Amino acid sequence: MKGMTIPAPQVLLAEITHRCPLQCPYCSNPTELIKKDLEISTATWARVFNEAAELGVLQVSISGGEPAARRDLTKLVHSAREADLYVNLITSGIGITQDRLDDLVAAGCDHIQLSLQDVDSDGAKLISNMNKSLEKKLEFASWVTARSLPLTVNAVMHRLNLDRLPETIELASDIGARRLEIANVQYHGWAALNKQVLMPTLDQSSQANRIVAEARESLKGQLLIDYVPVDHYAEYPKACMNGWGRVAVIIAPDGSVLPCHNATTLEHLSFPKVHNQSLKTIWYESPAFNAYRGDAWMPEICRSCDRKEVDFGGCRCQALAILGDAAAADPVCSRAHPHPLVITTDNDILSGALAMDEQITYRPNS
Amino acid sequence: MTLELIPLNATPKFDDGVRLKHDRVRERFVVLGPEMLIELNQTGTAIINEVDGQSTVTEIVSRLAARFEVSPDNITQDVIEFCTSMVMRRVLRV
Repeated sequence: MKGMTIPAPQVLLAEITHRCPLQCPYCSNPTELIKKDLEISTATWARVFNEAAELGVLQVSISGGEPAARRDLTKLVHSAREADLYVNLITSGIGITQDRLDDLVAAGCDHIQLSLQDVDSDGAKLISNMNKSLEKKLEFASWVTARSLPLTVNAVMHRLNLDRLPETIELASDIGARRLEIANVQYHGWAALNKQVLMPTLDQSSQANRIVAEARESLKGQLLIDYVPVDHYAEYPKACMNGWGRVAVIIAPDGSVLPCHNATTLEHLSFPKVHNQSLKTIWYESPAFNAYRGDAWMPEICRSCDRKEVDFGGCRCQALAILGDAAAADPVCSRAHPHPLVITTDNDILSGALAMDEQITYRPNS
Repeated sequence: MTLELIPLNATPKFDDGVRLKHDRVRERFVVLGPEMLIELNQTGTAIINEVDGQSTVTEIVSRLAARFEVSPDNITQDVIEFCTSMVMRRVLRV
């Protein structure tokens, strides 16, 4: 890139498999799931972890699907830690026994992030499409804290559970989580298919903003709360991935290297695989990673905007999905789009009319 | 919880799952923890390198004062405030 320094990546998201025992209808995996026989090997992951550390990556999040669906998970954690990366394990908690958890701790797992579908058992079943998923998760959480491993609860919020946000915060605190991520669903991929069911009302969204602000104050020093508000109701775009190719690199189960989970929806870009090129070459030199770095690609209204260093132009996948142009200003942005495109096209959702008669489209297990 | 400063006789230690790392690529010290990456400036690095889970704040202050040849009184407040901010961010606990 002309005249621009590309920072080294700090974070690697290793999506080691798309297989999962749960079927959440907002799964961040792409709608075209990668099959087991295309997953890269234990040895390839070990090489990639080393390359990532050399490149400047400090933290790896081992994720999925459900990472425990891979039988070599402990080996993968071990090789990531050997590469001197900080190892976060992002899990549903389903499929990890106490013995396996002991092995993961011994292998160097630093931190566990547990997904939470709902504090209500029926609500959790409705979303995960698995009986007793909440009960299994709570048992798993107790095993994690009993081993003094730091626990983050990742509570994914949407129309069907957002009214239980106070109880969600209380539960995270009660089970000994030190971090709580309150993450409203991002409406891409599977979630876009289920938008009519999942999109909260504007009122729910503003209530949530208030509840989070209060809880952050009252639980200061005890429970750290990260909050992802409802993107579509925001005034400005989110800093998607903290900027394209700026901080994070994602590796899909088949070894494709991506700037964000959803990037495969940008079909005009081709994403290199770790088999063919070094991670370093891919990060610094591939056309895909350079496509939306800096501001040369931006429309004039973004290039001259004082927020371009704040949100880096927002989300490219959303621009493509809603406006049909991956290089357009993020459809959420109220400066670029004075009549908010996202909200005006979704008036039916705002009124709350459609939600309950709609069917949920679950993602398959594999 | 209010923002009370930690006392001089407190013994700060790293919280579970938090560690200090020398970032060779960027030539700096960072604190790594759950979804946490804190870049430390020179002062922060000097203070946190003295945190060993055994020493009290007073002991940390006196070691730093000796090392940088300053009066302990001049740096006590900085050390207390830094350690308190690290406790609030759950990097350290006392």
